[in-house]
Amino acid sequence: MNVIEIDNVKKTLGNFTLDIPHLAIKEGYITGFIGQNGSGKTTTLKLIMNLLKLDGGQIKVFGKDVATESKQIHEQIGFVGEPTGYMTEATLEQTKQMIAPFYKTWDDALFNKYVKAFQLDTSKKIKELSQGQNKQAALIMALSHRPKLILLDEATANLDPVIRAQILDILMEHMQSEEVSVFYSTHITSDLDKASDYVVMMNNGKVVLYEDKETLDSKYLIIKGPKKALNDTLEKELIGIQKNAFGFEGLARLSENMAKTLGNELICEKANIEDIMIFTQRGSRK
Amino acid sequence: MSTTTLLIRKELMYLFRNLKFTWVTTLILVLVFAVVYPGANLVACIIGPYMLVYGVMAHEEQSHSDVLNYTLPVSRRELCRSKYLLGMIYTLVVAIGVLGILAIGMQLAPTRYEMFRVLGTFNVLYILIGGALTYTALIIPIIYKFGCIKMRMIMALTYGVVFGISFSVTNILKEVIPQVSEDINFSLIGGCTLTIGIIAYVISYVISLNILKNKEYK
Repeated sequence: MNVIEIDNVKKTLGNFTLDIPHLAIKEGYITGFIGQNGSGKTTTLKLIMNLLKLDGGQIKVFGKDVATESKQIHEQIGFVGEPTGYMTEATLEQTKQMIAPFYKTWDDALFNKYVKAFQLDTSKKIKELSQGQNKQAALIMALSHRPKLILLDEATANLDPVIRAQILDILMEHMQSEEVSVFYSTHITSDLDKASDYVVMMNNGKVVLYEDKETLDSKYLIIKGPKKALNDTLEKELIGIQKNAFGFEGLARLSENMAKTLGNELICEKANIEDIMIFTQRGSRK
Repeated sequence: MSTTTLLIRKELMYLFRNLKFTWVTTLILVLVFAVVYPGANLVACIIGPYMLVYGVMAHEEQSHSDVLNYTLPVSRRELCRSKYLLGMIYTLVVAIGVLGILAIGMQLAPTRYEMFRVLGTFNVLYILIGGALTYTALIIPIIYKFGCIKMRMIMALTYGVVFGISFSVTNILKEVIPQVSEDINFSLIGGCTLTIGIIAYVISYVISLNILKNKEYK
């Protein structure tokens, strides 16, 4: 079953147009949402949260239309946006007292557990927290009402590796104990290596890749070789080819055809998510 | 508890626990206008609800917690309704407070407050409430549409205009009322002011709801 279904969605903001014919996020999995700055990740998340209005198409979450049933949908979503939007003059404890009653499934014990895990001082005002602590506080608020879907918009951006790892660990721990789907955007590809089952890649407002992590790890290769080894057949298979005086390199999704065209002169290296993102972006610039 | 009530509770908690400067300043200004010069009672009653509504909205806008409201399990109708109910609550509380100050003033300095004695307690209350509701009705949709920061200059200008009109009208009334008090139906004036205020408030709510339903957070 799909937790989010995006159909024929169009949204224009200035010179940018988001155009997603179809995207379905699977329930019960962590789906990473990557793309360079300005590719449409935040726009997509805001459309799901009904913070932006669709120009065309439809988005459904838990089978409900976000345009008409957002109140019921938001009951089951834990959202961490950028900025987080919590009241800066309130303490975390006061924020909890103001926000918790809106959620029928709020769990104080869970809130306290995560506060202890992150070692946050709940008597400190939100504005007195560091950037990392702010994100941790926002994540605690998002998780404490036991949502069925967690949406994170660059939740780990600009954070040091230690805090990033803590946030991802808590997220993974939460996933193990709760039946929850996670859809999070990031441009830090190493986060996806640590925590994702599926990866969606955006570029210029379009979805250019949607694969499970296993396929990404096993089927994508960087092919390098001398210029003379680059024939028409191989060139058609490669994504984001870069040529220089000595040779070429490009990204390939391994297929039967691909395997046949590989010769002895070529070097094949496993591509990580960052490589896939760079080569895909390069390929779209032609 | 209904979602509208939760939203009202949330805003009151934030205002009185965390935005002490806003409500303390409001209280001082209301007292100053209500006590220092009797003719400025209407200004006091307008400023009170305005500052309390505007203060929270400005703070929410600055800290982006207005966006947080739209990610909660609340409808935009409930958000709008809570804001207008709060405006009404602030208006009633401030109006009754100002009336209380007037009542004390009428006991301590009867000649200074002669005009209000002639108008009558309930008519004064209706005028205070009607005036405050009319001003709040003007402000809320403008803030929703344009934001608090862009509207600051216009707010400052509006203050001057309202204060000037209130001053002038009060001075005129002070001259005219003793001469024509037998011919004027003050109940009609009070009733009309209140009715205009309520109608303006309802129209304002409909306009704000329309703005909020289409509002985007880019």
